[in-house]
Amino acid sequence: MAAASYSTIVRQVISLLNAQVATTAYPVSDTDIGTTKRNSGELKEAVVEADLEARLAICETPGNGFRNSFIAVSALTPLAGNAQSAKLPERIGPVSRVEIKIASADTTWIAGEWCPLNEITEIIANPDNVFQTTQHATAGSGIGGYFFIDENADLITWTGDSVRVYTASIGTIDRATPTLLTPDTYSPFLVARSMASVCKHGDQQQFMEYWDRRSNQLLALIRQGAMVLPNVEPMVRAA
Amino acid sequence: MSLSVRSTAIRVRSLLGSRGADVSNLRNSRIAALIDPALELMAYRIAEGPHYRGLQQDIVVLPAAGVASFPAGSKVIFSLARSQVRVSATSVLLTPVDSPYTLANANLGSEQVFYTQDGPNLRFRATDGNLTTYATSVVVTANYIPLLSSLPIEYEGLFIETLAGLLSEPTARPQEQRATVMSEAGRA
Repeated sequence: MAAASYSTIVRQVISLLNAQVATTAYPVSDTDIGTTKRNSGELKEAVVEADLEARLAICETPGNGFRNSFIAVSALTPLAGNAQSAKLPERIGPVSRVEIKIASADTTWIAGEWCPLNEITEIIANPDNVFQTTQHATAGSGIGGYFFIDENADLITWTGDSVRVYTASIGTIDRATPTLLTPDTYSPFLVARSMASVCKHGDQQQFMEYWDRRSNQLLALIRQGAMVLPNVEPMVRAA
Repeated sequence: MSLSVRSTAIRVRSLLGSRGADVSNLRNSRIAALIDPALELMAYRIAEGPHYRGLQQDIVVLPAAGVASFPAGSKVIFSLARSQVRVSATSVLLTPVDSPYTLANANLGSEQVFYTQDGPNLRFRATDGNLTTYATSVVVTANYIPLLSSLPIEYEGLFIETLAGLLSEPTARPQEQRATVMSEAGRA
């Protein structure tokens, strides 16, 4: 996945604004209100915030094809006194997938299968060997590999020896350079959102509303799982 | 290669799936929990059927004071009509009688040892007519409830069929048990 280019986004924003970049320090002084001047720091802030908003939308949307680029694996440490439960890591959106190692000596992780909590509790206890004599965390066990996630409690419970989860996070935030992580095909959103952000008091309301509406439309497409967005076009003023 | 929970689950899901059942929520744990009941139901059906000899085993027991009990966990399905008792050392068949009353009160001959079922035990009548002295090791050939790990390969198909029946028919229960379980200690 190629990430969007900051310099390209900024150039497009300046072009669409038909603006000039101010040389004064951020914030823009009162005398610039109502002018076409935009400070470079102001533009950078707008693009970075748009980038973070896009990342967030991707992470919150299971099924979005770019979400996988924001997924990282975490091996979980069991709670003290409870070898089959662990706290979930910080994450955005649902857990992407769960992998379980049945026995401690195993070298392969298998995809976990969801199972109700009460059933997992019974499997772990295996009272009177009701699930046969091979216990859940034994190599070759047929009853290992199940999990239950309590999102509200940030807790996962599983059968088998150990568990790891794949979760989404927005990644490193680099406001200084800045480094964008939003896919290049989402550049139209970054441009539109940045445009909406840099609108100022004094700009035409019609102009402000156009970019606000346009960026929200593109954000909705991202949340619907679109992989490519339509290009943005300058607002055409009524004659 | 004996069946495991995993291989059993795969076969049962395949069987039910081929019959059009929705097996997407049929987890291994649900299948595993019904393995023992299915083995039990299958064993009783075989014990009552025409081919009962196919699932019989020999168990050596040593009577003490005229009474023999089966080892814990042996899961014997004993039937006077379908089981045999032999002297271990000589393989001589002993003669069954229908009840402890017959064993104690009938005018039985003294040329052979008689036995009968007495509750969960076997009771023997020695050649001298004494009911509390027989203490010779005997081999009991009787039907039994197998473990999954030791299920004879020729019964795997029937077992899978029985298990699939339990899983697909919620009202089916192993209640058709007319033979007597003489050793349930292993399941306590």
